[in-house]
Amino acid sequence: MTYQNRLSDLLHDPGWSLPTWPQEQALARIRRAARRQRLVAATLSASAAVVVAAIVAVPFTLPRLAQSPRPVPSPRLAPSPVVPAVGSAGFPANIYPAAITPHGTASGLGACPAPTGLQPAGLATPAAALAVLHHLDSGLAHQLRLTDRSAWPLLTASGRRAATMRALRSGLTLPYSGPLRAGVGELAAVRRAVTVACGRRVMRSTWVIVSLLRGRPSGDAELLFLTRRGHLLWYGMQ
Amino acid sequence: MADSRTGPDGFGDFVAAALPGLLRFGHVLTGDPREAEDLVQEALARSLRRWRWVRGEDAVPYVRRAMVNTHISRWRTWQARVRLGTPPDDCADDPGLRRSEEWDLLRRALAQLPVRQRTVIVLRYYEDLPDASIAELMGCTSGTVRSQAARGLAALRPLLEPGLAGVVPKARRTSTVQGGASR
Repeated sequence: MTYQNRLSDLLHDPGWSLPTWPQEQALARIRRAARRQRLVAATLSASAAVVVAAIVAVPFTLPRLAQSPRPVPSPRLAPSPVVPAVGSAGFPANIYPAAITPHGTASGLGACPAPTGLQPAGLATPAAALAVLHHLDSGLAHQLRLTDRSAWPLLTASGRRAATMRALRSGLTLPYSGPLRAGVGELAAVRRAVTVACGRRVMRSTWVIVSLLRGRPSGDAELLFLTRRGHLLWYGMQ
Repeated sequence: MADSRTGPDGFGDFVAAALPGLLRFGHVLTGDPREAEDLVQEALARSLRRWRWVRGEDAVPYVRRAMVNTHISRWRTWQARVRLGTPPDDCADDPGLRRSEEWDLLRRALAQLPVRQRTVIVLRYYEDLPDASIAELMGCTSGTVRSQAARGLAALRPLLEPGLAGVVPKARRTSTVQGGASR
């Protein structure tokens, strides 16, 4: 038997078999993935359309800007949706306390979660974090319930950020999901940044999901979650 | 007519029939059971979105092509950022599967190959595709396929031969050696 034949035999070894999925579960799983793919495609198309529109609009807009002293309002400066105040109905202050200002700007976090009521990750955290990630592209009211107040500006201030969130939720794969404190490699840098900006208590309560996605120069994004009084909340992205 | 439980015409039947082979192909291609499942899921989802056109031709080659392309493009994204470790000695994916020591040896040897070499080896010796088809599938020339295959074989030979020399193929001993993710 030649070396190649032996290799071929081994590649057909029954050891490569994997348990198949039950029919109903398989179809549900495939349909969910197809929905995610459609969403990513739609998001990318919309982003491309915005870029094309911007490219087309610039030559027309610039001369007018030069002629007119009146400032042209940017669509990104449009008023943000009003978010519930601290302690308002449906958003108890012990679960959605006011965000705090981060130390320094190196972390990239615009605000930090308040350290009150934080709990360590538990057995249910991995599934809960994925569930939150899964629902992050729903309506704003639902998004607010799933996120810490420190992340609300991301949800309300910029359509671009929201589009990024939808893309994140449709990430191709999740290479890592675990406590931030245990993260190594690039996660160590994220851990340091969160510690410096938001404090050790927030860092120690943080669960991170690394989402691998297309269209982002760095190739992946670290999504940060925390648990406060039994509620898992998304609070930022690196 | 689409059925809410089975998807568009014939898709449910196709999945039921093709899934074991696709999972197996994904496992050979990636060396990681979870990665294989993810790859199959993404490729089947893509074929579901295009089922109206896919079902007209042979759907299995379409899905396998999607798996190869997705696998290579994922690797391109990760290549510069993540260096995967060697497969772990013990990682439970399915304790019920009995796997040979030779299989485990090959799994470990394949895991050390760059992804394009591994893909060429799998397509050539598992799928039995000619070099021209592999080149078309991977978007490269036949010469590149041949050189990747030669490098892959050269790398596998020293890794496999010492182990294979000591294992008699006639009476293949089995042990519960489990495949595993390398993360």
